[in-house]
Amino acid sequence: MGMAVGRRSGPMADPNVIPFIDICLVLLIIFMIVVTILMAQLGYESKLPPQAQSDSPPPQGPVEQIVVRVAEPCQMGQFGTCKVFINQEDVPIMQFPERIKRVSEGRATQTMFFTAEDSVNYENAMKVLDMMRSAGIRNIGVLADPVPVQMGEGTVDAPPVP
Amino acid sequence: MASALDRMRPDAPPAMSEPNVIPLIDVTLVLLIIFMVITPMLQTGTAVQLPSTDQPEDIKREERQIIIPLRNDLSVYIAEDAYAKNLYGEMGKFDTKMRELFARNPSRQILIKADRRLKFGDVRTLMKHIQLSGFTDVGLISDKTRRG
Repeated sequence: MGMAVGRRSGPMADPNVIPFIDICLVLLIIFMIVVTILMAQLGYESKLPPQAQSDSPPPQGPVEQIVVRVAEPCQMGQFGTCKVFINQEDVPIMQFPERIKRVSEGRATQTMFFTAEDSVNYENAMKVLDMMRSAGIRNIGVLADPVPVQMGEGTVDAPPVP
Repeated sequence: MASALDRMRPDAPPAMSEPNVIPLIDVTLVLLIIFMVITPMLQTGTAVQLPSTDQPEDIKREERQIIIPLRNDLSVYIAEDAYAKNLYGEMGKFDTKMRELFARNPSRQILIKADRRLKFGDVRTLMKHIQLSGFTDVGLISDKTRRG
């Protein structure tokens, strides 16, 4: 910066720094906003049931287990074609939020299980998971085992609550 | 330095109208540099197209989290490092690493950052690998649906 050194210099010739400051401040604000947006980490926390022992049947808990299953066809961008089952019951996707809310009433602390058939698009499965979460279900266990292939009739064995 | 009293005297030279902005510029530039350095460091894990949902929760960033990105080409990463080219192929390196991480600290949280174009089966297979390594605390990262 042009500072007056000694007494020889005449009038102080400071460059006009105001536009420079303006640009710096705007850049600073942009970076601050970007950092805040990037800091947010969104998603769903869940528990994986401990690895199920294949030889021993899962012990029956005192309460009925609720398993939500998303069935095909449920391709990318076609959320409306997804079929959702609450245990064995086929629930239309549009009525699912309401139904799961009713099912979850009085079971606030119970772990509910979520699974989807392998061919279901991941984003659509996440949207169903989002509906469960929005219905107030706090404890969601995601089943890591493949869904039995029988459509509608098959029993999805719910592992014990960890 | 002219004190406030000096300036009130009629014979005092006119007060300087421009404030000294040099310290302001210094502070601003330092802040700018700090933010510029922090911004690239905030990206955790290899970039993927996240699925978007309506009301994802805020998962607080913690030291105990391990981010596992699963990209659309089925390659598996741990944070930024590739551990498997194909989820259904050679997963030995990934499994070994996960067991090692579990042995060191079993209470860590795994965050799966999977691409939205994948099938649930792919994510489920990855979960199976994580489950076999021993971890039970698993989160799925998503993005909030932007409207308009």
